Amino acid sequence: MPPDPHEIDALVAKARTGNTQAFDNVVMALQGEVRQFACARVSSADVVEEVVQATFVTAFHKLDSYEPRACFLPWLIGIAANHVRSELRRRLRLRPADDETLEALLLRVRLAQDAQPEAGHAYADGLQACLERLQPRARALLHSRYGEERSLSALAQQFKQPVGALAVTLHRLRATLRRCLEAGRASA
Amino acid sequence: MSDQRLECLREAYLLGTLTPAERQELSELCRHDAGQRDALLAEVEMDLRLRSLYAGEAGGQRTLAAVRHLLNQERDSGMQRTVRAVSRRTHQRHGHRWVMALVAACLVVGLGLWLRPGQPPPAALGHVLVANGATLQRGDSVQALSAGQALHAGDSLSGATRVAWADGSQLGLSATGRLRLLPVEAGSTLSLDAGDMDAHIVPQPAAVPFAITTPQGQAVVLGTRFVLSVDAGGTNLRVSEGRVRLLASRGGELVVSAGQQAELPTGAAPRWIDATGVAVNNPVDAVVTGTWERGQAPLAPTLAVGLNVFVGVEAERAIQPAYRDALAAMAPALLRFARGEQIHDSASHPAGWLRLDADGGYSWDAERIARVVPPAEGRRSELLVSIPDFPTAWRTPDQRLRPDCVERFARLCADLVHVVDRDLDRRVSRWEITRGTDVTYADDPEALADLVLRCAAAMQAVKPGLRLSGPAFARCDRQDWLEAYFARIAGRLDYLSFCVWPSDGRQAEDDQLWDQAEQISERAQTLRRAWAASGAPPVEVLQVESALHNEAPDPRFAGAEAGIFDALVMISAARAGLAASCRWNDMDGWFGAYAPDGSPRPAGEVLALFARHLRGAALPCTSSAPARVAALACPGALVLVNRWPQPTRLGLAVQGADAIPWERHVVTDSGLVAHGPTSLPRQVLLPERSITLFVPQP
Repeated sequence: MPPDPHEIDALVAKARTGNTQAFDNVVMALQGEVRQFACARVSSADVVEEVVQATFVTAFHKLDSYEPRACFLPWLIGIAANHVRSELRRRLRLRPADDETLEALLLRVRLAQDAQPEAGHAYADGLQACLERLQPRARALLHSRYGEERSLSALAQQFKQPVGALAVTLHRLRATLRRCLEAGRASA
Repeated sequence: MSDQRLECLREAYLLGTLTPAERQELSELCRHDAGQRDALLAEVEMDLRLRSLYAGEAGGQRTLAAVRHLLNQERDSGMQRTVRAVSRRTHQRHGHRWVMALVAACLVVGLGLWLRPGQPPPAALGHVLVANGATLQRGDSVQALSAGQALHAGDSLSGATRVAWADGSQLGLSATGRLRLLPVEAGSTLSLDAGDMDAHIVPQPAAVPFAITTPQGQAVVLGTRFVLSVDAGGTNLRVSEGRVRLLASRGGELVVSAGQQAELPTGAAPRWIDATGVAVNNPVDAVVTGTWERGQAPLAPTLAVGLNVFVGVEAERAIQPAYRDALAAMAPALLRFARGEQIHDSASHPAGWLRLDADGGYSWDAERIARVVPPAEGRRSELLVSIPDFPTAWRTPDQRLRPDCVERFARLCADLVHVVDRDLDRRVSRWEITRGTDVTYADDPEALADLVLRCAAAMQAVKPGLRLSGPAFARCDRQDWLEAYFARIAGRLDYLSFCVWPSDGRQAEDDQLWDQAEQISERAQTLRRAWAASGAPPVEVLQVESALHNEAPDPRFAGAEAGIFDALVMISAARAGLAASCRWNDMDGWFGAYAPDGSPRPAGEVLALFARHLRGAALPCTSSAPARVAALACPGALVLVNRWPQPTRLGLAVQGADAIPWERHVVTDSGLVAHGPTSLPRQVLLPERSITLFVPQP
């Protein structure tokens, strides 16, 4: 479940008085949500990490401007959205204007899409729920691929499937999860 | 390119193992085909999400370490920038390097003290709500407190005052009270050095609890209401909500829960005390206080304890002995017929009351109705008959009544009155036009009002003076909607009815569901307010449906949980002055008060007890820990509901109850147990999750 917004407000109130432990707890409670938000709006893992860290640093400096009305996460996601935009711009600026590489292409597409937050969406919780609906074998495959970070050839050996077929299976699983998340958003 | 080849390229991209040639291949593909590019981005997104999710706690720790590092870096560079700026100005003015060095050193020390790692400027811990002539000591200066004044760590307050904490908690200090606000590193939030303090502390994060030091020890608050007193003899704690951990300076601790009281004598371990301050071996978990009087017999029930007929709508099941016995045992004061399937075709559904005529219209199956609606002779219950919904063929896709079917539906309602009350002489006490249609007509209260008015006129033409309501409201939280509805229909309804189906279903914790049972009075209040706004004279309000929730299966329907829910609903309804409270339902496999085999469930036992003994109006009665033990006193019974998952040792202080014998009935998961008449005990151990009725004997 997403963290209780009132509990987060209580932590923020303590963080404002200089209680660094309370702010650490805020980071631990909400980093997953911010991370999931960023994942949908950038094109590589290092941008995600950059955005998440910058979001919490900015939030720390702006704690006094937050009005405690059980809406800290949306407030934080607003900050994250700004960091997504500026980080994508910064990375594009570092590349030549005529850069035709795949990475540059994806950065441009993401920047054009604009990182608008979705109101009231639980970013991390939805994916966990969708994962739980998969078959055990599918969950085991994803766990090996992402939890244990095994290579495709190691996975092929473990699941006794050719590499090509395994790649297709992984693609289908991600597509299933995507549809599940979209269905959850639509019903919300 | 084959799909499999494409998937292999994408997977290699995600894994970072593309060869330059493969990268070029994928790049070309994405550049010229927007669909492929979007597909790759979708894969990237889900890949990143899964990586993040599986990184879990370890990933969070890495982020936290990085954030801390960044904040510390900023602090260091901020201090260096400040020192450089000061040194430049100092050098320009004086040109003395030693002065520059001295000032810089002072700044480093000063800023180092102020800017602890990653710390924003200090903020107020709270502010004064009511000053009352109390004083504030800040450093060496003592000043009168003023309302609104900000409070900081290190401040000391003396005298009667009320303070709001930054997180919404509130503290009240007595006239003899002395309180200090402690800095974060003290390990406590406050120090109460003398006097009394009452507090309402909002739920605190487990990692950073709210703690109060006293001369004898420490009270660690876990989100609660309590009173803490300090005098020369020790510290006294009385908790009315939540829990507080009481720790002695010399070792030993007690966790004091709602309703309990404990003391911390100077130099001794903490110990339990009773309401009069006498030390006891076992804590009293809660105290129920009140006044009881028998009243003038015979007493009529002010709340009709009712039951929704579900199985009994089916003719074959209604005549079974087990069903009849169950109904006789529960003896509800009100039977409500409002099963949705009543408006189904009797030829195709065992609960259907309607017959599809040859011309495509509907008429009522009088023979079926005669078999399921009990005759007036020998019947102990009043009847409420609902026309629960519109026949399926007459509905629009959004489940409203088709405009061209309004007259036909009104005639159908009138025909039912004719069949049941005229032809069959069932003497129905109350009629209800639809249930839950306030949700279907959520954006058009006027249309629903016009429809109900039309039906009411048709029904009253058949039997003038019949008592009508409609619909049974599913939602009572939209006062605007209700006011618009009542503005159109006020004066034409004889009573109001509403349903209670707690939200969140199977996922909800017991306490969440039970709390919603206790919100009935608020719903009734909203209904009454909206009705009053129409200017019509007050009418009776009935709560006509309630169940733990609406998501079967859930074993709690057959357990004490449902019995407790029902008991809390009826207690709340009695306190709110409602005319009836009806549970859903009689005997089906999940919701039934009785199991299909004819054995009573806890909810059935509760209904039978309440129907028999809830007599007369509610008397003054309060529980010191209502979230743990709910209580109701009336001339017919003293009701105690233990919501707690453990037994509760309850103190009873009920004036007027001493002189007579009381019979005790206890409903738990295991069923009903009755105990012979005794005097009302001063202390009683309520079993975990149980409903106890003390019934006065003649």
